[in-house]
Amino acid sequence: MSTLSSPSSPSSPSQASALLSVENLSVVFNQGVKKGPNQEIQALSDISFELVEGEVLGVVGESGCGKSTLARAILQLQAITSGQVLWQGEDLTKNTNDQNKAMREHIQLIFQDPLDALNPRMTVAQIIAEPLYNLKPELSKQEIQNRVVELMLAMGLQEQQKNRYPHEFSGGQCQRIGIARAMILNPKLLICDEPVSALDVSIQAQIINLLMDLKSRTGMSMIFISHDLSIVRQVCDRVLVLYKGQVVETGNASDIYENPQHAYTQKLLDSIPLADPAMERKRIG
Amino acid sequence: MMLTIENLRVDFTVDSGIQRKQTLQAVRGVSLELDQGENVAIVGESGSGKSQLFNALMGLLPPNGSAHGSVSFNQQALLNQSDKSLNKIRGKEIGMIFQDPMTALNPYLRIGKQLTEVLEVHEGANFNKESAKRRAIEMLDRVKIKDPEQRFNSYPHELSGGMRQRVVIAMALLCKPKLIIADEPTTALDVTVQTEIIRLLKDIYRKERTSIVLITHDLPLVAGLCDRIIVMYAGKIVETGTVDEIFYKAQHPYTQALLAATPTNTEKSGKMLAIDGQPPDPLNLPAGCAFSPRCAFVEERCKTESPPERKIDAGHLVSCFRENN
Repeated sequence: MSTLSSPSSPSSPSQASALLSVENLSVVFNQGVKKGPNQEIQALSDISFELVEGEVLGVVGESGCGKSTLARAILQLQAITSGQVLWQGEDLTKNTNDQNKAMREHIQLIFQDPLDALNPRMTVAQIIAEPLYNLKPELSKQEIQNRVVELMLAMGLQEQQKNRYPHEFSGGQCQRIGIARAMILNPKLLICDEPVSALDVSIQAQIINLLMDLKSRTGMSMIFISHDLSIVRQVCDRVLVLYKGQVVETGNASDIYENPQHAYTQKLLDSIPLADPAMERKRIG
Repeated sequence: MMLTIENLRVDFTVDSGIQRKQTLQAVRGVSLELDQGENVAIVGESGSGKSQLFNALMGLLPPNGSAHGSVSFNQQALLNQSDKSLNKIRGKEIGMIFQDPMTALNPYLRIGKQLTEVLEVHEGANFNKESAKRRAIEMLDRVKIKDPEQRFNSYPHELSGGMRQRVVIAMALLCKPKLIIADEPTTALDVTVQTEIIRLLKDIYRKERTSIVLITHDLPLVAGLCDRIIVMYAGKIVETGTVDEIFYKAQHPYTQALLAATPTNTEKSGKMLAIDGQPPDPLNLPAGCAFSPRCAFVEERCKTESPPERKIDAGHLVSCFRENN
């Protein structure tokens, strides 16, 4: 597969230097109420972590804990209040939008609602090619078309579908289109914000397998944001547990799941329904 | 039998772009019986018809939907009745809990008003404002809402999602219904809250002996709560049995594949077991068994004939040609 090339020197995660490092990141939202005092909401407070090449980091927590804000802050889609986001040593927070354009070639995002994330008035081929038009203007039309078709096939879509519109596809297929759009630039980091929570169980596993397959083929890193702890366990090397904008626990996935230290992590893990009636009855009481 | 559904079909007339009007079969001949005090889960993916089945029962189909077949609830016919006669049953003998607690509550009205309104409508002349308030507050306490007197005067936006869902449950319970239909009651909630709501439903079931029908896409969610599971695919029941039969002795290839695809909190196992393909287009259903295009054990006759319902055990039924799965 030429489009999905693997890195020149595959290095094991533990030895590689940090690809992304987030240092003391804080985001505060001002809830501007016309009358009355300004209410401040601490969406993220003092978050620090590092991500090495080829690593899959899970970010778990409940709604409102700051999972998605973290993704947006890394991508500079959200103004940050303090802290640094270092991408290969370069502080993204100090850059202008234009300077960050180069970063977008390396960090891509896929979204929760696959149909909402696609422009309803663009064809699949236009959607998947758009990042190339924006960031690789030197490519010829023919080259772009070739890469689009190659990616569609790699995602399990068919070439004949390229002139269709998003509404003609099922949720799972729309998510494949979204992944194709993210992968066409050969990103070094793919941020997945609840990539399967809008999909049916039988389709969830297909998309997870596709993502894992792409990861092992290209050697990219991933940040996998999810509220579903069972899926995170299947996908991630390391896990970050967020609660009210703070990291309460972080560690290797196996340690977190086998031996959670923080009370909140324990509570989260205890909340997972078990796929065994006898055990589940015991859990529910 | 408290509830008897016989050969229920739900059709929708849809306009699909430039094509002429088409009929979409959402539910394709479902028969089931429910006894007083039974606790049943209807499990299926989106488009399986699980919600439309009960929307048809409650007279909640949109104008382009129509229901055929027969449904009786305690000897009263339910299907295609006027709103006036349905309103004697809805909210009184059958309570409903919906997926999204924000849209189920009126944002303009205080919680208390919305709760007592239920009694006002169903008790008519016997309605007493003071006792209604007392009962509403008792019910808020019953669903474990803290400071029920204060919450009685709250607006829905002042409560969290889990609290709102408790209010919706309290509302469904107020008239002491014989049956509660809960359509994805925890899907919009966080995992920790989800467990609390399931525990609450189990507690209600135990103490009030109210029958519960829980409609969901999530098999593990009902493993600890329900007695019986009905699995639906493309508008039909493919398998029904006790929770243990479905989890430990599933016979239908779809049930087996669904169980295998369900993510579990177990060690990383490499690849997840997906079901290939996609659910069928309801406007263009395959002939024969609807699952046949995705089935790993498909035979020639599956593509032309609909498999009949086969008995495995007293209450364990499966619609598949293949034996000894």
